[in-house]
Amino acid sequence: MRILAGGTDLVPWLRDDLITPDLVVDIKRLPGLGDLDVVDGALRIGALVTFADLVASPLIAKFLPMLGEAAGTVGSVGIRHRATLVGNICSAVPSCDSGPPLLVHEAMVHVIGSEGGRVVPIREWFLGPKQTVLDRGELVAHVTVPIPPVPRGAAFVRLSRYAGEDLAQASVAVLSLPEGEWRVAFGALAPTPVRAPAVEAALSGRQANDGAIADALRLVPDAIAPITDMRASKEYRMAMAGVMLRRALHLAETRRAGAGPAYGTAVM
Amino acid sequence: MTFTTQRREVRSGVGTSADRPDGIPKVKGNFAYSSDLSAHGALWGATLRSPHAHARITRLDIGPALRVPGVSAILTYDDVPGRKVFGLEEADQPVLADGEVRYWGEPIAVVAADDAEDARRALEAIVVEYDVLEPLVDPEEAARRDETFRTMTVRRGDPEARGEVVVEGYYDTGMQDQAPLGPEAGLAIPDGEGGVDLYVATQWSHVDHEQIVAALGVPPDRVRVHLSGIGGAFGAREDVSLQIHLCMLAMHTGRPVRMVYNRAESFVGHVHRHPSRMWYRHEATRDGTLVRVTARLLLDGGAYMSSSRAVMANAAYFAVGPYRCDSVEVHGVMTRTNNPPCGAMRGFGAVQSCFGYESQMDRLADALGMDPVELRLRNALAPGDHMPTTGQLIEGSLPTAEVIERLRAIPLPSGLDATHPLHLPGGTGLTTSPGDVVRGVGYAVGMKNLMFSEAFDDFTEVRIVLTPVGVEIHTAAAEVGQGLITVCQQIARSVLDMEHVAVIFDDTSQIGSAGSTSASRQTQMTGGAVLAATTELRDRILAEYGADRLDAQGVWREGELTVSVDELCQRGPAEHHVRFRHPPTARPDDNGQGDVHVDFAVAAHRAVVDVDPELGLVRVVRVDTVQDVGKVLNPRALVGQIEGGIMQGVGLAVMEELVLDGGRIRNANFTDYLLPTFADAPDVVAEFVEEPSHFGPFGAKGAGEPPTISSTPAVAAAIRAATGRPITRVPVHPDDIIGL
Repeated sequence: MRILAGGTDLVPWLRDDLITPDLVVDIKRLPGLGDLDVVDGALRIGALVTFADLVASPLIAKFLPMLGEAAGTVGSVGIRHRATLVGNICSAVPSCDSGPPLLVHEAMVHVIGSEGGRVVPIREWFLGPKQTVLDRGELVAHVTVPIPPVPRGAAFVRLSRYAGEDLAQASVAVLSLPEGEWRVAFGALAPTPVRAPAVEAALSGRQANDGAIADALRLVPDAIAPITDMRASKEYRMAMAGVMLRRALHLAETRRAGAGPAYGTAVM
Repeated sequence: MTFTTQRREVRSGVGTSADRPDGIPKVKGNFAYSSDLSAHGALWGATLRSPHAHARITRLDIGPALRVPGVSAILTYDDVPGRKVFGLEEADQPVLADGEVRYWGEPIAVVAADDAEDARRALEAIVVEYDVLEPLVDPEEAARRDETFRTMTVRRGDPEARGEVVVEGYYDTGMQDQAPLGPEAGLAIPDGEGGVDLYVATQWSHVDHEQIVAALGVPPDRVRVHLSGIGGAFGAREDVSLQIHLCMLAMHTGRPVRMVYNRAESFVGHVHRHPSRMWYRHEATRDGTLVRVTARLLLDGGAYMSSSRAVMANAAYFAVGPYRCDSVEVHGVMTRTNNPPCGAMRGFGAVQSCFGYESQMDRLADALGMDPVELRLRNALAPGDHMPTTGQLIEGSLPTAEVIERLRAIPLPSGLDATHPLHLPGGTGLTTSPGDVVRGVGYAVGMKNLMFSEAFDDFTEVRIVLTPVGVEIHTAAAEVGQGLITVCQQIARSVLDMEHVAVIFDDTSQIGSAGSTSASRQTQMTGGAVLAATTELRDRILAEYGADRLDAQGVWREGELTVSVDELCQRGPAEHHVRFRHPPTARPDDNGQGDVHVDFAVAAHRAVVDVDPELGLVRVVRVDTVQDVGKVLNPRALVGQIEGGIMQGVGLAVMEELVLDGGRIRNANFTDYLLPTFADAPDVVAEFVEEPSHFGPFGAKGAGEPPTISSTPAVAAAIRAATGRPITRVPVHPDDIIGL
């Protein structure tokens, strides 16, 4: 059994015989899954909320602008109007664009099923390529993302091969919080999107200056496990992880100071 | 009866940006492509393909598949009624696998069923067992084993000539795909009398027809090939793909059969651009005069011949480019391997060697401490010179120096445009900041033959019919999107002074061959035939009626309309048929010497790139070009051809490549076969040099291929200038820029 929301992953997989479910359940008309609102200091993002919804949302722009920035890099205009954030983490491809932002924001995944509901921290969600903790007979109702304290700065940078619609070849999400807290996550650089606690620890309590960045970059190779495929070599991905982390750290710090390019200016 | 004597001027004649009649329907989605064909009661065709690059078929059992509901026919090698092989230059490719498969995706069986799903189930039910063999996929190894389609040597001048400055290098180009957006598709309808009508998107219906009737083993008049709407071609539709299969299925079932390849199948269902490995040595005097060029060109033809021999010749004949040089030696080797078959693609061999010689010209300029543009000007080929390779005297026009000088005079764009992330190399991902970017500028010049060469009997047929409501042009020439219809209309309008001109695509039984829509030849050939036919028709009518003018109203004498066009048509068929040839060409001698070409064109390109050297990403900002076009027949259509050709050249430079693994294509899809999108498209500034061709309507030259030839090395040169990296292979990968 597979759940169909936007279908931008599911339908091509069906077409190419990558999956052969006996049942596909379309949830688009189920009530209560399209919410995008603030509940108890967190943003609640329902299973039917598309990336285009996130890009257009004033709540996202106000509280989670980096998630909106990441949403704007997904696919193309057409894809963003179909594809959902919840579907993205359920497909759980290593390059999923919502993975790194949700990891640094420590989102919670709200699952419902015949046995009742459960809440799974995003760090425990991904098990491997296209694998999650979601069981047969369960579906994700929504994701909640705590609104981070201010002052904060964040950045999502995403490497693609050309200006056309492309899968991320590597991505980095950085969140800078008060009291020198840094959070860092990578996408497309391991079997799942990953947080990088050792990298975060090296930055903790420090400004993103050359010394701190050099210390952080030294720890990147142990934080990720990129592969060589037709799209990019392992060596290239490894090297780019460092370059992109450096740029993302600078960008997040500049933004925390109230400067730097506006969030989401990468939206095509 | 009185006639008005007001003359109406023709508005959309030669030299205007006349609208193309297929333009608006294509933009609005109303144009019927071959994949839109349907017929009442039509069956769906589908193809079983080899999952191995090289294997013997030890068992092939269609029994279980015949029991799948909805299946009407399953045909294999044994069912091919006539000649069991086909091919453009030589019939060497089995219509269906002959017990051995020699490339990944080779057709083994074809199915006709009630719908696409039934056809797919039937394919799955066919039992095939293979004895998998080691595929030969390394062209160097194939060359060592003498597995070749053609080896040739071009030798000219004193082999002992030596220059004071010598540069050498290896250069590689990847396997590019034509990637036409319209997949291979067709519809075959049996006529109930032992014959069949095939509607298909092709570049050359008559050469398809020849191969179909041979395979079916029927007289030529039993098969009629009709042109249907073509969604791009670029060489990919010159070879037979599904034509014979469709006719076999229709004849066998007695029902209409349609077949449409899906995207993955399209990538394996047509030939590709030959990948190449080239070694070059250029020798020059200290003042930059070329003394000797030596080259070894290794191109891989893949499993079957297709047009590989002609591609090899073109790569070798244009191996030096548009430069004077009196001592040349070029060895060409076209290998046979278990890689996908390669054949015609826009530029046809001249693309590969242009990347080699232009990379060498930059390297030579560097060694001489000379400006690369000055080096090219110093050696620029001109009328009165001899081709450096074949020795052919250049007659007619060849304004090499002029295209270079005019290109250099076009102002360069101003600095980095950081107004939108899409203008930066990192594109949509916001990975690049303006401070991360370096700019580079590179020049390249290219040259190609126009029309067919090496003594090929190249002709086209056109029939002009004058009717009371306008002019009909009958032809079998394929409009692949390049604008042939419009050019033919414009020529007829200008000659006959009549606005209403319709181009009617005749089937193979109604008119003789127009030759292929390839080799930049249709403007000069079919356009030339329209000029000849309309001129002869007009002159005949004028003579017949003692008139001094013909237009849409009729014939005129001394300002008086004497016979109306209605009357003219009533008195007898006002029509004229021509079979039109270009001047003959010669076969080359054993040293590749001879007047093997009819006409030539040159073009120069200048690329401006912004590179993010840390990410290895390139944004091609602008490509400027000056092209030798003889005469501009339709400015808008010409710019369209040039912009499209440049996009294909940019694609080869930075992203387009079929990636092979043991002969298997790993990226037979648009997720991983990257094509430049609108967001990747550089601005293009195009100018033209109009020095009339010795053979072409109003002096026009074919213009389709030159934009694709030197745009690629110009981009590579610009990346070299920005990064200092050697860049000896296209497409350029990020790893090459970073130096991994």
